[in-house]
Amino acid sequence: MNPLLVADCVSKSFRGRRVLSSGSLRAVPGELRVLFGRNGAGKSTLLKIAAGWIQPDSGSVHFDETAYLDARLPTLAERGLFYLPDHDLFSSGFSVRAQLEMIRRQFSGDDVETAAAVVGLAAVLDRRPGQLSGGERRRAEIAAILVRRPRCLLADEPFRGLAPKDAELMTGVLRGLASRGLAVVVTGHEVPTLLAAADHVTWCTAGTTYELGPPGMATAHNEFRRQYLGQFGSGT
Amino acid sequence: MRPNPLIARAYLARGARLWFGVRVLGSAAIAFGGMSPLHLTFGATMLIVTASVALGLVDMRRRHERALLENLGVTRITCVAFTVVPALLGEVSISLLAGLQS
Repeated sequence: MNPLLVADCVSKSFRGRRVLSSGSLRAVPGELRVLFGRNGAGKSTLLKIAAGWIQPDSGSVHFDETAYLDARLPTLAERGLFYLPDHDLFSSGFSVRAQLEMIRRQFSGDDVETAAAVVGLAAVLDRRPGQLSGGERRRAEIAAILVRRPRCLLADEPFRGLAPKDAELMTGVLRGLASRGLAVVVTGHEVPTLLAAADHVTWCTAGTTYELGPPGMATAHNEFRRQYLGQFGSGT
Repeated sequence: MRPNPLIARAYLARGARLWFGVRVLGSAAIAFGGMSPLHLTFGATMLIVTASVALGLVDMRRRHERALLENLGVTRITCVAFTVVPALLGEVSISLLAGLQS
């Protein structure tokens, strides 16, 4: 299937330090793709560029067969992209319900109460994000994904800091979205969880990316095992 | 993408509250200087509008609202409009009231 979103040969430097020299990313409908990479390898930068959150020094972003030399998140969001950053998604200024309702009305999304019930947050919907625990905030973000029903989801470290039960919920939601035809790309370091959920692995290292294919092929890749997986690679 | 009325109402109301706060403080300072807070010069009016807009943008940044707003399809220009419009409307209203009084 053709990719819905492509970040092609993008490069990015910050204050003279090159983070990405030629990174590429594809989000394919019906697939859950995982972008692995060591800290500082550039995977968050690549995801941010693909989402239009930051602009690349070179390279382009294509969404739904339209090329953007200057991709911006509001434009891509209008066309069906949802970007979950590695920090909080929600504003501290409104209740979770108000913000989910904003998303629902803006995109004719799914019912807020139903999404909250799925993630077990029905009782705290009227609280502000600051009054929720870290895990509850992450679950509220899962509810936002459910309400939004995007065509493409880019999630930066969605499993970070999640309890096992919440990680299971997140995995279920991401797999469910992919099985409904959404293009999903996530980053993270939770190797067993992500490998179990992934359809495809991309490895970001030394400023570039390698398409390793399905998890089975990825774990058989010698360099990936040696440089990234470490002890996880020996057991898989 | 045009923000739906719920988003627009929420942010315009916040912009109005910020402008009101800046106007009350500005008016107090102007009255303290012995001038009428109802009859401001164009420069002073623009200063109040600019201060309201700056505070509004700082407030959005403080609340980490960029991710939410951009995911809602709201552009930065619209974010600025959320703070400019209530301040300008407020100042125009006060000018009209002051004109009616004199």
